[in-house]
Amino acid sequence: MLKKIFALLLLVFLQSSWAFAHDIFGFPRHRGVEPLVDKKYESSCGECHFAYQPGLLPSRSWAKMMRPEQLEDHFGENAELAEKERLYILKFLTENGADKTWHYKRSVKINQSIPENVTPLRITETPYIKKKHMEIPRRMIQDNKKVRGLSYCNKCHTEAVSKGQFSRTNVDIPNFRNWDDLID
Amino acid sequence: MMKNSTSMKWDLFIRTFHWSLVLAVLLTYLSGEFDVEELHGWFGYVLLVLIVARLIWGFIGSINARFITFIYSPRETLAYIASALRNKPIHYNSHNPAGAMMVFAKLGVLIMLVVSGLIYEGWGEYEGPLWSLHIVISDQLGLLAKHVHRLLPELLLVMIAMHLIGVIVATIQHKESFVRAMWYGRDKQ
Amino acid sequence: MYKMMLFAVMLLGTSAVQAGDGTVIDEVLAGYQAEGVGSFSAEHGKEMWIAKHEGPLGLDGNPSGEAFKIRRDDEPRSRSCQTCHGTDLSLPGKHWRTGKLINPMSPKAKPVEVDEDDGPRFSDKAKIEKWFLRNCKWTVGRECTGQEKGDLLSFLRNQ
Repeated sequence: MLKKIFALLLLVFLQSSWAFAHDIFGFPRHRGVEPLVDKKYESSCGECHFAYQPGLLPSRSWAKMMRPEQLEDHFGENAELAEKERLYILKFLTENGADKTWHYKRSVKINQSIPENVTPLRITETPYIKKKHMEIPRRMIQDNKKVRGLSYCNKCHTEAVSKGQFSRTNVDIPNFRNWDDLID
Repeated sequence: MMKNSTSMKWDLFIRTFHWSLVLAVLLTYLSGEFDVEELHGWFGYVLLVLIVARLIWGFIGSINARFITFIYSPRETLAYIASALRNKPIHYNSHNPAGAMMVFAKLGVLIMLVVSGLIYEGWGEYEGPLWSLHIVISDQLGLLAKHVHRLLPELLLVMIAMHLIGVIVATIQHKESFVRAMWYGRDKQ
Repeated sequence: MYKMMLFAVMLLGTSAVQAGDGTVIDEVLAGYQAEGVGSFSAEHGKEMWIAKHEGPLGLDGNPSGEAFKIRRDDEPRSRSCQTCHGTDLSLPGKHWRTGKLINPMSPKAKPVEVDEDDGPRFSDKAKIEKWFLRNCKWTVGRECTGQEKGDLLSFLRNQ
């Protein structure tokens, strides 16, 4: 009995010190963004494009994007939703925005890189993402027929969809499999 | 104070510093190579502390540790290299001119690596002291830091190889155990 | 108990079949008729399907950033249903901007992007209306009338 209590206390201690380390050092953190999946989000947004994880933009950006007049002109496309759906997606996105997590490294960095008075609508215009892709030549992205633009994350980030991972190690640029030798 | 003080080559600080540096460089290099970002950052800070301590010790440390004792003129350096090539190297108590050159070069590269790492961290990763202090870093400087940080480790590896070769050659030529001196402080018991 | 389960399975089975066999389309059409539309014309639906509309193209009409801009040679000259759905309804279409595949419009064609929640074509009323709203506004520049939507559905259901 005493042993069990001791073990339990030890467990609580380990757990809390783990959480403490987590909060103080931000370590260990997950490397990507939270790979959240929501069926309604998938069907409402993912039918036209890769369903960008909510952790790729701060909540204020999602709130702006999900305004009815914004959805009517969604980067030139019409992405209107029935009000009930719209509110559901709005809630899903704003509750899981990049500013709502401490544990997913990319989200934290994306959020930190955006000045407080700015509300970007494009993930590709957040300073962190911009800087990370600054040196990739046009021929690999914009002029690459199999990629076409920075917005198509999952064309090169092979684990973007399934795991929310965007590390260098799982990048595969179509037509430029040896990109790592070409860029550095 | 010490019976045989002339044979004490390296003081305790230098010896601790040297082997800590070996370990820290190894761990920083490996964590960088295998993309373990958090650890890489922490090891980088360890390097920073070690280097700063060495710089301070270079002014207040024991005689052989002071930079002033192993700053040589180009002529002296050339003379030493010539003597080493003739296999009759001039003897120095502290670093010989070739070794001294390597010390300064490695310190320089390590400083550049740490500084470029800090700049890149503040610019591109939104972390670290420069980011916390809200220091604005231009894109040019950030990218430069990134490139420097990518290229210098290769140079450092070459320098480490040269250092090892230098130690082996000097050990043979001077008939003095440098490794032993770096561990126990003196080359003979 | 066993019989009840069997019954439930049978019920599920029939509803699944029903979803694909056009009952949803019938329901939707009946809805338009309840709003006052008379009869539907598949012929007119086809005309609408291939009609081209001059519209502000995504490239020029919008302050799109560099990132989502598409290559000039991929830019459609005008807008029509076929811009994304293609000319052969039994084949998958492709979103003109994002390039994402769109399941064939023909209810008989085999879907390419299989989502476990996705039924066959025209099996979900809400989905039909969602896409009518989005696509009419993009293509024609306004919402479609009940008559137009009915005509389009009458055309598409028999492809």
